[in-house]
Amino acid sequence: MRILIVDDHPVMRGGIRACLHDLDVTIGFVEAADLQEAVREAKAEAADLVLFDLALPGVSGIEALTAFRASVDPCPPVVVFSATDDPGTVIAALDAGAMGFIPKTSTPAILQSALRLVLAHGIYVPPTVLRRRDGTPGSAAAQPGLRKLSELGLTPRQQQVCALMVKGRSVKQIARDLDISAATVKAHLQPILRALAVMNRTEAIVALHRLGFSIAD
Amino acid sequence: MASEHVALSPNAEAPELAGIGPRILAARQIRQYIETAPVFHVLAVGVGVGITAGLIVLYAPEQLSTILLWALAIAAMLLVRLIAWTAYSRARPDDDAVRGWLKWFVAPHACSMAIIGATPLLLVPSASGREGEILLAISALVYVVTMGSTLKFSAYRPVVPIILGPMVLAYVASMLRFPGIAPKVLAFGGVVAGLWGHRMSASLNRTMVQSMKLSIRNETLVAALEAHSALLREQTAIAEDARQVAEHAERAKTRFLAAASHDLRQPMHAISLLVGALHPRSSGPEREIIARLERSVEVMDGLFSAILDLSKLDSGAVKPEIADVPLRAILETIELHLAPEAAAKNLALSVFASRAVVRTDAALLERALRNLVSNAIKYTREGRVLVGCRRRGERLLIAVWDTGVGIDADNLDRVFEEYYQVDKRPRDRSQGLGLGLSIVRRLARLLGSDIEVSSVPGAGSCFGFEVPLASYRRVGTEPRAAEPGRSASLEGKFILVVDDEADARFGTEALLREWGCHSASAGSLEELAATLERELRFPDAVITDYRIGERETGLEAISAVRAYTGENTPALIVTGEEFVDTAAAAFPVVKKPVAIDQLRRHLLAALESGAPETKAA
Repeated sequence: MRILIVDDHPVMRGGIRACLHDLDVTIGFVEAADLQEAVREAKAEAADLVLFDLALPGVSGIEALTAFRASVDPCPPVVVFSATDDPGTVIAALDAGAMGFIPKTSTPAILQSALRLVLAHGIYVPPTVLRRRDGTPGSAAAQPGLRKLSELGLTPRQQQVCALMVKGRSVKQIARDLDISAATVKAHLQPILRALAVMNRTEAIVALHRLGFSIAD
Repeated sequence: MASEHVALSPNAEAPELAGIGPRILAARQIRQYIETAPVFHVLAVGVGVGITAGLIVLYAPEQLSTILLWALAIAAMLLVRLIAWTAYSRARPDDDAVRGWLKWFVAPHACSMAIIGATPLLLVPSASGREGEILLAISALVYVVTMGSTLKFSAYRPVVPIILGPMVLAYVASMLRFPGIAPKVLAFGGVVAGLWGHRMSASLNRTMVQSMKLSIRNETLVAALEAHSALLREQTAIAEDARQVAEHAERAKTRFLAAASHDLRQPMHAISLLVGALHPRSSGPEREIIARLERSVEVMDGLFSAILDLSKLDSGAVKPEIADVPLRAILETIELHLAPEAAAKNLALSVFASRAVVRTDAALLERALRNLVSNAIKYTREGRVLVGCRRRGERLLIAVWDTGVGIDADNLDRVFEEYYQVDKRPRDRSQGLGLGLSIVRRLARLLGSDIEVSSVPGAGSCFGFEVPLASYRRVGTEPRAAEPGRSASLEGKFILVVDDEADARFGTEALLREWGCHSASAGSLEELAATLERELRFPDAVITDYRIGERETGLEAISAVRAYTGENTPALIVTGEEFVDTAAAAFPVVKKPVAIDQLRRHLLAALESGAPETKAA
């Protein structure tokens, strides 16, 4: 597994690397300190996951994320790793295509489990978002085990499309990736959207996190 | 005399008028006397004298040289006054000097009047025959001059007797010289004219003085106003400067804190990660050290967050988003997150669930409550911390009780100050900077409430604040929503509404949202296509008007949806028409105006019938 860490603070990058290395020694790391470097590294070598800090020099938060995702195609799944955790920013980041959102302000224990969750293809979003969206308290990402999408009665193809959507691919991109029509992609997404009772990708991500689903095949 | 006409102002006068100095007023009156139409006066007197002289020459030509002398004397006096006036208007004397000029006008004026008054004596030898008529004419002149002059005198009353006195005396004296009754009557007329003139000047004077006072007051007010507004402008400028300085300082502070939070917290977060990584590898005494490290980092981060929160709240950057919030969710979150903290101190944390729905900002309310509970846990060594609610009219008191150290009455207010701690022992520093309660107070104020506190030292404290309850209608609908059988099947469903009337779409969508559905709407087939394209999710059902615009029908809308989704999407037709196309008979038809219960029943039925087909698709 190859992870691109985008953060302007070397100390922070070091910390993330040490922490992730501890979780999985086989992980390879690439680091970038600003947007340009991040795009360059992502293009040079495909990463499996990008940990993206929203406070990069020169560009403002969500714009950096949008610019990064627009410049790299295919874009690997992006998990935002940010010092801010207000619900507006989290939702904006998910809307902009992030697959998860880990606040740096979390306690060490939560940081650890959030990263572990992400490595296991799980989804982490801060509890503040969960509560705001549906009024139920947020879980603290301490699920003992992750549930598979197949538990929702999804076919392998449906799971595959769902995973691609969660990773930030648009309907058109998924259609191209899988060489099927956009209508078929949408049709594949229906069971999961209905099962989760959500309307869009961002809501689906929040719901998947709350219910503790993994998007691993 | 001067004191008399100051005293003329009645007591009922506005205080500003009474306050005007007599000196200024007198100066103004004198000016008025001097400056009243000098040329006109000369002309009037000149004409009067000319007519009189002409009459006398006509009836007593032998008096010519006397008449010329008489007229010259009067003209000389007028000339003196004209010269004085020219000098006066060139000198423009100030209020103090103006009184000195008075004599140059009063003296010639009095002289000329006396000469006019003495005319009968000087010019008429006897009062018989034609001379009688001349006397009559002269008398008329005297009366007219007497009366006319009062206009001029009345501005400054002290000069009235000085000028009128000699004239009337001279006239009466000269008339008494003539024999017969007529001259006596005319003399008496002169006295009456003199007295009448004096009296008239008094009343004229009153009016003039009053208007002068008013104009003086207005000038004073204008001057004061100008001075005041100049002062005000100056003060505004100072205040504006101060505000800018303060704003600048506030911005600088916020910028600094933002920078501090970013740059200082980054390494802290890194430490946090590293400590986390160390944790599972450590053992024995190392583990103890690492645990302490972890705790220190947590405390430090907590402090940073608190300071940043405080500065955000102070800078007004936090805007509450008020909505209907079910309190239970927030209370459960608090319990979930803070129970471990309480358990670690062997305290019982009891949170009484509440079914209330309040109008507030959920995130801010949770932050305030979390701070209160966390604070209660911090300052309680044994016993319990309790969170509960109590209804107060249309508001709800949310309060946190503890069996902690308590606060004595003197310190009750001070606990909300920043950096204030009740129990100031050095080791308590590790528990925070004492920012918690000052944050809570700010949060509570943002939510439109003030924090209440009561405490018994040694026994415990209670902190709380009020939030407005959501409207009763909503509370009333709660049981229906909680009824599992009815709402469960509509909850989370996506219903598409097609209707060409915007109000109808809006109303139906509002209803659907209340039932927990997602909804979208379209006003035409074209809009419908765009909506389907935009939404990621396919509709679970369609509610369509039978007649859409001029040409399109609900049947076409249903076909369009089914063609796009490839699903046998359940549909419901709503119509105001009595008879619909036979093809529409394939769908449930609901007549307008739609009864809410009926719509709901039909929708549920349609969803149930459509569900298996959807899965099959």
